[in-house]
Amino acid sequence: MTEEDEDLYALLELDPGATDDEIRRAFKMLTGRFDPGGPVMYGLFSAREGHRLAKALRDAYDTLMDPEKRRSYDRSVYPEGHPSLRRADERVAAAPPRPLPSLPTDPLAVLQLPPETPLTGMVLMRVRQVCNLTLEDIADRTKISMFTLRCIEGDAYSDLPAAVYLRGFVRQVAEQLRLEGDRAVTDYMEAYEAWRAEEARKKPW
Amino acid sequence: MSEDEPEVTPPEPVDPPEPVDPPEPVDTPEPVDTPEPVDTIDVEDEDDTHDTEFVSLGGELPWEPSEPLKVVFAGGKGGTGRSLVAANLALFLSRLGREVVVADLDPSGSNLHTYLGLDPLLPKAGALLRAPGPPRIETVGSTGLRLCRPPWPMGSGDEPLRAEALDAALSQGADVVILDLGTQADELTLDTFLTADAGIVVVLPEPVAIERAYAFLRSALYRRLLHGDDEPAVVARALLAADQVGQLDTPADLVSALGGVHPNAADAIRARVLSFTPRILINGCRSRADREMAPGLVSALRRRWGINAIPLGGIEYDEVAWEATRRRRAVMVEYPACAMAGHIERLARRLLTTMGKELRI
Repeated sequence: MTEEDEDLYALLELDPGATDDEIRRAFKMLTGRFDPGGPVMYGLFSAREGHRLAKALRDAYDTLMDPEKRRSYDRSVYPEGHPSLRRADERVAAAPPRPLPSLPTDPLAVLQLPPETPLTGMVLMRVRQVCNLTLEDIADRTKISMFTLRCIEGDAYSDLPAAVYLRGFVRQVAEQLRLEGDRAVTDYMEAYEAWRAEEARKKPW
Repeated sequence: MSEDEPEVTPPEPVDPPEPVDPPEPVDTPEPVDTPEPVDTIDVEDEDDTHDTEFVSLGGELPWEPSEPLKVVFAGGKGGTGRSLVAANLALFLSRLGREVVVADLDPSGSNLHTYLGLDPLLPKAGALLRAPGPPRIETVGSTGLRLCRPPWPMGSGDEPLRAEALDAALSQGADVVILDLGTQADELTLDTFLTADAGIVVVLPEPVAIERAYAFLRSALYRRLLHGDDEPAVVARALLAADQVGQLDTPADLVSALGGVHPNAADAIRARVLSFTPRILINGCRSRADREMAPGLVSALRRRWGINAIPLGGIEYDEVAWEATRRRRAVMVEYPACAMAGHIERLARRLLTTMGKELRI
């Protein structure tokens, strides 16, 4: 896929509905990372491809940072409005979520992981990638916020909601990936509780 | 891509240290298979006062071993610290009380023994004319870690010795086998890398090392996609062979071209691309930009080839590691509290997490 036919948000590794500040940060990070003369590009992209990517990032940034241009871009790509900007109930009424891509029946086998692999956030993320689902797909279906989903997948325990909510969230995410909800909750909460115990040990007061 | 930094546990053991008795000299290799003593000269070490007690962490690798967990270091530029990291990761994991075998399979000789404080093999000229003995398996001092290496230092054309040492390492009944395969993209290396539980490429934060890493990953990726007699590989090879102008530049191009002629093959190839998960480790980090390079490479690889490489973070440049190597001592044994030891522990945690395992200490 070339940059020209890529969604501007995807190009900047952002979710549609990103704030100006998020766009600015993503642009700064990506232009540094994909600097045509920088080490990361060397040996993977030709100089010409590097410059094309740099220009595409610049154009995407200019479009999305200009309120007028961004509105008309959004309207051309999402005539119904941003999925992530509309309220959840409107979203359900307006259009059904995009049909699931055909999911592998045993995603752990595709990942060459043993079936008893503990379903931690990292494993859930890899299963989701193998299923060709984006975080947004999951957010769309479960109504769990992108932030929480990212924290679940990143095993960022300190940023997660209380255990009573977390259990439900993990179950929903696992079920979207055709994994056993009960098992995911058991595995995930075990790791979570281990972290909690460790924290408590470190800070006994 | 996980951006979170796992918390680094202080290197001090959480449980009371279990004294290891009797403290065997680190420098006495104990060959399990009897080598021919006439053919090798073991270097005498004059300085015997450095023996360091190897303290068990009393932790656990909380999975039931069925097959050994296969961790492969391969590819990249020479001199990136691949063997140094492999040796110290092996020492760290063996410290947790599991059986670990580390194997030196670099066709040009990776000197794992140096990083573990063992002696080199110095075959006499005549030995090279006779049939080679079996691979040598030695225990590293009091650590319990075993080193497996071919019976003499590898030169070129020693593929059978390498394959034999690989088999020997895998059949020791270990819980974890760490293989250092060197930088070449030969078939044995690529296939071992591709079938590993984790294949790790160690990269320095500089263009030469990065380019070599990409070149190796390209070879590995296309071997994964195109090698074999199965239908998807055969169809994909035919399509690429017919592509005279180089239109099918990326795996995505290949998959979309396949979609038109053979949708099942397209699906199979796409699955192979998505499930290719090499691990990227940056060694010798000196700046913030260096430390952020692993996610950068992963993101560039995803953009270019659509693969899901996994960042393992960075290991800081550490003078102590250099000092330990110069004195032919293992960093984890000699300087268990140094910065690099902490980074190795963090690497172990991250690595096990990416394999669906979890490390509890």
